[in-house]
Amino acid sequence: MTSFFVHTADEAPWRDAARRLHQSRLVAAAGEAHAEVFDGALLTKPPAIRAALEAGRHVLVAAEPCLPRVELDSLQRAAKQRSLLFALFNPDRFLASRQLLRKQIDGPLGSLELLRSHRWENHIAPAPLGLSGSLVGEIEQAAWFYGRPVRSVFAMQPAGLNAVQVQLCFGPGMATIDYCDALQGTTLTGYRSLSLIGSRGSAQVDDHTNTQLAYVGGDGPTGLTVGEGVRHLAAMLDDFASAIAEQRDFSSTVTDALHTLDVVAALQKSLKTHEPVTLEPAEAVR
Amino acid sequence: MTTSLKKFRCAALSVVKHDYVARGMAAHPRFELVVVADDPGVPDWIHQRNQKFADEFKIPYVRDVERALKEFHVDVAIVSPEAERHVDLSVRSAKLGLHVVQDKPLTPSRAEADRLLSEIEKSGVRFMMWNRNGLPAVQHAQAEVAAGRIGRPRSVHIDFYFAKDAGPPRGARKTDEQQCGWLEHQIAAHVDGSDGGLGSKPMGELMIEGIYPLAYLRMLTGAEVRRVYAQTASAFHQLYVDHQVDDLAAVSLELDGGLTATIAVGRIGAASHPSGGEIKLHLLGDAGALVIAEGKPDVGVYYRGQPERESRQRRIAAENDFILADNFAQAIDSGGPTMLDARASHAIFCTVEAALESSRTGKAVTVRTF
Repeated sequence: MTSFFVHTADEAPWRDAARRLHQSRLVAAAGEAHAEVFDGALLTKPPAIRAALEAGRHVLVAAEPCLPRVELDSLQRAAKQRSLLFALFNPDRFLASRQLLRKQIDGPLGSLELLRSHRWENHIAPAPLGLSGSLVGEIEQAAWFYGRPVRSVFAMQPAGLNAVQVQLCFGPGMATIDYCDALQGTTLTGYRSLSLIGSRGSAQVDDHTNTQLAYVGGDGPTGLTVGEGVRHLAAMLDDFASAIAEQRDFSSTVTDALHTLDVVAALQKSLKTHEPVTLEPAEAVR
Repeated sequence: MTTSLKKFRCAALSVVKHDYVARGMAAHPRFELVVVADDPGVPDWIHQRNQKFADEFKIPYVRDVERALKEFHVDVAIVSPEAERHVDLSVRSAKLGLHVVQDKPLTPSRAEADRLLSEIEKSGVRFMMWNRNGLPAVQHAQAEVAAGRIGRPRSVHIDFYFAKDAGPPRGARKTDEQQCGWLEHQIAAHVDGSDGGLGSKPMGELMIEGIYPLAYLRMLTGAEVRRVYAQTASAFHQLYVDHQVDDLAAVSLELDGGLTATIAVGRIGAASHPSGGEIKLHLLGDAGALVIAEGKPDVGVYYRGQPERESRQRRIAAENDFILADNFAQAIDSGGPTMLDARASHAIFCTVEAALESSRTGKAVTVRTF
């Protein structure tokens, strides 16, 4: 039985997720845990992670890549010295929709040829790397779907809107990402849509089609977006617990994170220069 | 009352590709088909198609374009030959003072695109390139934008995937098998209307279908595209691999006023979608956003033994033909612009040209306008 302590600003989803776990549980204090989970970029501070590792606890950062390269390298070295796991997971990878989509690649869909994602947030997302964390997560996810590194980036920022449109080249394979912070004119939810075009078929997961309608008041229907709940958190904890038990090497998650940092830097350069930016060859994404 | 308005006499100049253009115009009460015409020296298969269409409409087929246009007192030329003859027939018609409705793409050639714009504007006739801007969902999007519901559009993405095949899939041809000729394939593809690339010169989907999303973008934003970055691939069909043209493209566009847009275009294979393809518009404005499915409204029809290729979602309220023809009639009456006039069509050609250059060079390319 693996015990986790979760550093989080919102315990409820983690508690709910924990009810689904067979071989692991949440504990109330770090001192009682085998592993510490840092939920989200804001709570992911290198000194706290270092302290957890020094205390002999495995560490899972449940966020898009949000630490500088030098810190990631240093923390990974510290974990290796102590034979501990240090993993950095974008929780979106564990969403049932994303898992299902990924299983279609190199199977029913054939090779992935084009990925298109929209992510419109209804709030200003934290930007620890100077770029919205949610956008960083979309980039990381695109590379994960392709299973290979990004080769070049072209990015644009429209005037008068906190938004970015990104085109990634995976050579072969391409992706377009449409990101917006602080979606105007909406109230409760943001909007997400992801489509994969493969050589043999296509697949989509889309808030547009997964929205229920409510007729209340006099101003037309209101869309109620159907979320995917907390199962992805349980799946992530399960995977990490089994990795601990099997002493599985999770260093590739850090390699992926480092590559995402390179893409983020290239994107920022592209925004500045208005030109496509080519990346140096990197190791494959897990 | 429409009865008091002039009815325009139309000639179908070469009905070898999309006869839906001529049919669409003829369905409007202000337009009537009076003749089909083409040049005498075109191949027999073209004459045969022209004759068949003329027979169906019980009108003559004349193997002399200029003679037909004069003798039948034609007002409007409806032009749908192979792509490389588009401009020639359109310009010859315009020089005789006829208004022109032309099939897409504008032309595969830069020189021809420039010639068309120059001659159409010199002649003063009305010109429209056939498009889909009259589809109900697109009209709805335009109405929302025009009403200011999302404020000023700032950023747009358009998916335009045709779930159609174009011969065997990529990798299907053995190395010792002869490749299929481009024109040969397009002639054969006429049977199901998927011969949009008809012509002797191979064209990718960006050239063939790119007009549609770019026309949406133009109508919804009113902004000119200034700079382009694009990637293309021959991802799905052996025909496109063999002829080194794209069947998939992702394009980033910088427009006037700091507006940005991306489009994804592809002929992604019939198996990829149960109803012809995912076509969707995403618009972000400074006061809101729109997500529009181009195929709506529709009716779902599913039944035992349903043919594999039959659309499960059938489009309804589709008045694109009427809206385009009606707009053209109004343009002739008023001397005003059409929904996609020569200058707009030329600008779209220039954008596609820049995108293809970008995909070849890997660089962002400035759109070279007239």
